[in-house]
Amino acid sequence: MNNLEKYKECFLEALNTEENNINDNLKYAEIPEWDSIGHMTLMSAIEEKFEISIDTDDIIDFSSFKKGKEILKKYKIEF
Amino acid sequence: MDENKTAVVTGASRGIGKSVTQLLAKNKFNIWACSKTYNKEFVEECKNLEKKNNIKIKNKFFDFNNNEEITKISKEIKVETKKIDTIINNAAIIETSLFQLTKLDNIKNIFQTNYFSHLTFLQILLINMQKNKKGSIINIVSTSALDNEEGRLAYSASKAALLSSSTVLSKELSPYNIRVNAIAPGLTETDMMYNNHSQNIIDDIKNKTSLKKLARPEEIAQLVYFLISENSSHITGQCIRIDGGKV
Repeated sequence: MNNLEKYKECFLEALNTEENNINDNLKYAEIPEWDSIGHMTLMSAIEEKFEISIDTDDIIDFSSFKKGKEILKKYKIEF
Repeated sequence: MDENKTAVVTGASRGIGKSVTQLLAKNKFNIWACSKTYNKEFVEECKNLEKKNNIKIKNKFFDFNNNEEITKISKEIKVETKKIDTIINNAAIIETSLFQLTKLDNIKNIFQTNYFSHLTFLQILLINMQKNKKGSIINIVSTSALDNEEGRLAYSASKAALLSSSTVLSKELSPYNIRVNAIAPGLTETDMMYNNHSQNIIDDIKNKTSLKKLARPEEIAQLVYFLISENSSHITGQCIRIDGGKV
């Protein structure tokens, strides 16, 4: 499984949403499943899946599917 | 440090924090014991507690006024611990002086240790508890947070801020099955208390309690243990006074 697939899987599992919702256009709070509770579940899932510890500022800045990929580059996760 | 339950205790080497560390050790918790000043005697005691109870205690010494250090230690704890079961926010400093005779920088320092240091810890460590959908947080405040005595502006306000945050967090964290409670001890037999109160004041306050005595740190620790145990599984968002009954 490549990093993009792992990343998508985190969204699917954490947000429990339909696969066609998971794309570069997806933004925080745009679907009911990605609310503040979903957000923290998503951050936990990404930490676990990629074995990283996400800084608080990055958790706050993680505003979209696309932005998340940019942020994860800081943690040496390439897409 | 994963088979037993794991606790993070701040202000662990003295007073209430030390009693909490001892009681948690006796109850087979692995412990991150965080303190400001290196204390050889405490480190030795922790080693004995480890052997006696077959647990692990990791001592960390750092300045609670330095947010970079707190962040560094919190991240270390987060990375090294799969499951944090409880966080006891206890570290505190006190200064007694009238407001007009208190430097603003001193007020900021008191807030940093008594309030912001705990928020920094929590903001980094909470995600660990959220992953596990279970946990208990205890914020040690003080009856000062409720009684607002003169000469205690910074201390009382910092503890009141922590108390208010406890209530807010109990609501925000309830979806993750994380309980948050505060404990407000009255005068307790600790070095910090004796260093900051004259005997006259101690006697006066003691006489104003129903039980006519000061609390022992072990008595506060027992309440902490109750509030992190399954025996209090339906209690959250509360502040419990433990002050011998203020008359």
